[in-house]
Amino acid sequence: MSELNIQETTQYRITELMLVTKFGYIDIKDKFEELNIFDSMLNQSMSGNILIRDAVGLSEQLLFDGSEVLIVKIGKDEDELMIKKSFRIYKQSNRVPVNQSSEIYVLHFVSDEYIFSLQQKVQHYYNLTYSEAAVKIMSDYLGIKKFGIYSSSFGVRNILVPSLEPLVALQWFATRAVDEKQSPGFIFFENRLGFNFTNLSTLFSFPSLTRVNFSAKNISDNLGEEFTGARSFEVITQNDFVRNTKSGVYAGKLIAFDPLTKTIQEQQHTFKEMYEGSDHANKNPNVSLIKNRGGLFQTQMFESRIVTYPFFGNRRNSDFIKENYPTSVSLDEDTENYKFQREAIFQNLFSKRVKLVLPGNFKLSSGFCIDLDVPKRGVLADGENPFDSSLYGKYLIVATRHIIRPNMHEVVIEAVTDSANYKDKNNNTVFTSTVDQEKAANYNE
Amino acid sequence: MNNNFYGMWIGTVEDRNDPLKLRCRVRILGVHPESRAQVPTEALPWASISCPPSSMLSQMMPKEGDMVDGYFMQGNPDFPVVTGVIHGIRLEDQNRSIGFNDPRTKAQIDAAPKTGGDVVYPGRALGAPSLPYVGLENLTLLKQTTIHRANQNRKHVCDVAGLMKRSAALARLKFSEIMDSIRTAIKAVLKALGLTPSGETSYWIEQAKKLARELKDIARKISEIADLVTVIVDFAKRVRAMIDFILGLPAKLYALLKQCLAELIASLTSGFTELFSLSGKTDFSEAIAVFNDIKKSAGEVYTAGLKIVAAPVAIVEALTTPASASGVAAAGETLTTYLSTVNPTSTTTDFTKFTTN
Repeated sequence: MSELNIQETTQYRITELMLVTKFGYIDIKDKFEELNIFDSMLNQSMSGNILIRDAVGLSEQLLFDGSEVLIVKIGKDEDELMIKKSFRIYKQSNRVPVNQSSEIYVLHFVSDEYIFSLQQKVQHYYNLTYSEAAVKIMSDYLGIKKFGIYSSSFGVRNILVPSLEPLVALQWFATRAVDEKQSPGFIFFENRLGFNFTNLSTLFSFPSLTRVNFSAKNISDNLGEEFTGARSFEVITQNDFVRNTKSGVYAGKLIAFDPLTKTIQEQQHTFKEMYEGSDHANKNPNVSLIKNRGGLFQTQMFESRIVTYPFFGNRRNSDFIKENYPTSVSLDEDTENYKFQREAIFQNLFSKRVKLVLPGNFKLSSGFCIDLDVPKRGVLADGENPFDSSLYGKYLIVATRHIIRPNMHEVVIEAVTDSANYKDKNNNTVFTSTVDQEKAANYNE
Repeated sequence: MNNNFYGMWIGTVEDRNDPLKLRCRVRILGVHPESRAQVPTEALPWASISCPPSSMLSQMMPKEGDMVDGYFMQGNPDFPVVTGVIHGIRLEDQNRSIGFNDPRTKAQIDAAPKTGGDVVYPGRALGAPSLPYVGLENLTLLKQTTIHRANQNRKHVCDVAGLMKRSAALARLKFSEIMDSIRTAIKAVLKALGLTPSGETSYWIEQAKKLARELKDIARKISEIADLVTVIVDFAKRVRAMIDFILGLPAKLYALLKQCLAELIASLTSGFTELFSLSGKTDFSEAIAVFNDIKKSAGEVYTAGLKIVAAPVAIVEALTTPASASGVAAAGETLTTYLSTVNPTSTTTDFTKFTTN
């Protein structure tokens, strides 16, 4: 980033910040106190809010009836470090008087696609893969021309969208789509690239956007290094064993049933099988093995989570069905491939989540990876790895908040990972509990 | 994420021709669109049928155009389950060009399986549909009986007795009315004949008109009675067929149904007896005497009325007599003879009157 022409890392340039109303364009560059722009892998679309200090009676003149559009074109000095997008203003917060001549209020905005989506329902039949159907909905129902990252899902299905808003339908597709390895890690979300229908393996396969350093600030002349330096770092969640167990991260079973073939089938799922179904950011899994007092590892405890759900899989084994209704068996939903696994995979993904504050950088957006060089705490011995092995590595950005104030631009990032780079002293990548630990667990007896 | 697929839904059956003979396709309100261009009937998911465990009729497949309710199994919209058919009064004709209506053409409706078809699945072989035992085609009555094929234990065959009693009571009421009318008519005729003609043409014309009106009314009521007789004859035919059926059963089952048969015959006898038990008498002499009186005044009325009296007598005799297979055969011949002479065209039983189509 040394090619940047800006003088300070939080500097930015507003090219356009305008309200488009029934009365025309209104420039609000000098009227805002703070502009926040959010994107998240867990949300269908981008959104934000802008705090206005109004000393000209703007609110009274414009009514803010939901028809207003906010045009944003803000950047550093490269195209890729710029956000250029229009949003619909959908709500005005309480108007708080500051003094006799001015007031402040917040205008909330969201992508126009979101508003358009709210006004429709998809009740449509597709004989396509979920990813192909997703493209159809994006173009046919939402008029989206700017697609982001796209990954193909596996298998043509009979898809009948049951009266869902287009964006909800796309998320619904993502929950049911599986890749070629039958792994259900698909997600649908909007980021700075546009709308994305992709899976975790694809996102993890991209190289990191940047390497975030944790060096001391204001001691380097290298603006690029300052630009990628974390101003704040916090571990939000890390390895909640109880929650992971309840979510089936380690093990569980699906009791799949089909009244048509009168079959009940129990499928056991283990961490290994689910983990190996997709690619990951780092080399090693983030789960260690802990033996319980029954002498079994948590990955062998299949009653940790039990899901009961209808499935169609056994119909392929019925000669009667194959003979009388052969076309049905290849197009039926494969609920057994996603119903249990999806929650476990995403719970594990979110089990390690960190929050960072970086100098404003529009390149950073949900769905991209970054490397975190989290330093080790304490005094380093000679030749010791300077990074905290429990934290450093590649992370996936799941949410960003760009905070733009008249005098600075920062970005708050939430990033997650489901893998790690650590090894134990014997160079093992997966830890197992020790005899001492097992004894300690039974200490009371 | 909208996951609002729990709870009950309402929909319309659009297809029951499941290749697996077990399910139907339902267009569900609020979930599927009205437009068949958008979602054709063939794209609707197959809905399983959930039946009450103890009802004979529970295994009947809803038909196209029926409004049904149900739920999505575990909230999965690919897996609808129909729990019931909601009956009602249709105000508008079906519009087959849009959803939520019976999509079939008249030819398809005519060609659709009806009650009375053949059994398709013989048993509970592995790999073949088991429950419901009765697919659409199996929704039939045993030939010429009210015994439903789904009724594996042959229960409820005495239902016909209740129907007989109700019909007999109705017929008795109507018959009482007609007898009153006939008496009134006879009085009018006799009164007219007892007067000396005075040459007043207008008076006779008036009397003739009055007589004509009375006779017309009588003819209409006799016509109604004739319809009822046809119904009774149908019942009698069924009873007769049931006798055939029962006599053909193994001894054990015969014993099981013996009581049922006894009640049927008793009901039949009672029904006809009550039908003609005017003025508390149990013979038909008064009725026949009345018709003889009418014969003098109105030949047309006599002809129709005599049929009414004669037919049930023959039937009751035929059906109460048999106690063996040969007796049944004889009764059958009597019945056949009667039916061929009285009203050959109306003897075909329309079972749809008594069963759900």
